[in-house]
Amino acid sequence: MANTERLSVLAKVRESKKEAQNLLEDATIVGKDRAVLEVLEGQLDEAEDALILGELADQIDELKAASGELGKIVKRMEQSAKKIQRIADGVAAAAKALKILADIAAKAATIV
Amino acid sequence: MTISPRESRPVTRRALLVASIIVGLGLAGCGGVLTDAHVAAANQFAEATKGFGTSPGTVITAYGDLRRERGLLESATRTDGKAAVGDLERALRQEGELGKLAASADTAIGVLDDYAQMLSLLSSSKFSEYLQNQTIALGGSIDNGIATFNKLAGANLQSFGDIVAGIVRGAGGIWIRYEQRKALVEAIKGAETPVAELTASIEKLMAFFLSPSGQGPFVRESEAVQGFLARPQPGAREFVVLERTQKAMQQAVNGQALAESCRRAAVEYRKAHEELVQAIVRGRGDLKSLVAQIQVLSQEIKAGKRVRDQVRNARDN
Repeated sequence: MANTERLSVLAKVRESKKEAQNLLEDATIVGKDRAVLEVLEGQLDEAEDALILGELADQIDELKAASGELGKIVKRMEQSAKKIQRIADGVAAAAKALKILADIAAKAATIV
Repeated sequence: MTISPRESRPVTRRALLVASIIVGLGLAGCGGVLTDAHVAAANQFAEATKGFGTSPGTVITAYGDLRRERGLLESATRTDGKAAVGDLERALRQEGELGKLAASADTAIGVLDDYAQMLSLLSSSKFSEYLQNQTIALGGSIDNGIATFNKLAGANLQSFGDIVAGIVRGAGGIWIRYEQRKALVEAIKGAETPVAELTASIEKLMAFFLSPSGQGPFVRESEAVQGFLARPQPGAREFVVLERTQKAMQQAVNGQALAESCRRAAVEYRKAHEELVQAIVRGRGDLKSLVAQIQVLSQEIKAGKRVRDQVRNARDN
């Protein structure tokens, strides 16, 4: 059901429920009549619950769609972070080559 | 004119430093107008928005709690036993379904927390610090190697660990910063539309709970429980019924406040992110205005967290 259509039905259900609730405040309505009213109010309540759930579910579907798009960006950010970490590792590894040269020099000195 | 090795050393050092500065400036130039202040603002934005993701779910859960309470109070007014049982059943079922939707909303909105976390990482000094630690250890290690060589070979070779460490840290750090900034710009630019849509969806969801006519679910539930007291009662009203009615009314007030706070935070989130996009991606906008906007956002999110805690405490007590 479309969003505006559902909200319009919801408004009508609520109106009817309000009528039933007003009647239930009337102490002169007793016995079977009251029981019928109580059951009717329960049915309207059920309809209202279903409409609210439908409306919220649709809105949460919209949230999920937008969230999925942002999720893709977050994945790309994770990849960027990994790439930067690889760069940092790479720079450190390249520089270690110089340390190896120093180590070789020190070892050569022990042989000499 | 000949240059002795001792004289050539400072020249070599200078040349290396100049080379690293040139490389650095070249890379920095490719990075556009992103300044340290922009990166700091992105980091501040990330910090301010951490933990935003759970509020919309809490609003739905708060409504579910209230709906269950209303079912219980309504059942107490029934003269028909079946109607009373129906009230209890429906209330529990609806609370359960709302709980599922709340969890679903939290999962969807949780991506904002992931986004904050990644913004925080990409604007942090973690990578540079890592390189710094590596280069300090490296420089020390080279110095030790040269010292050992000098001692064993009786030589007097000048150590160069500090120069190597300085160049690696300098040029490597600039390269890392360049890559970080590039990633940050790409991410913020890419997030522009999804963030705008996501925050608009949150706002719309909260608008459902905050009907402008004052007929949102929280207000309606509160009016309903008050209305039950107007119905004819089998006997005198028990204290416990009055107490629970009052609790339900309070839950309605808290839930409404949380929905309003969450809606405002979504609006401020969108505005602050738009400012961030303008400043970082397009090089437009005023940095002061961005910082001010982030502060407003931070206050809204903190206020939302306070209300959320109140709602949780009221529910748990």
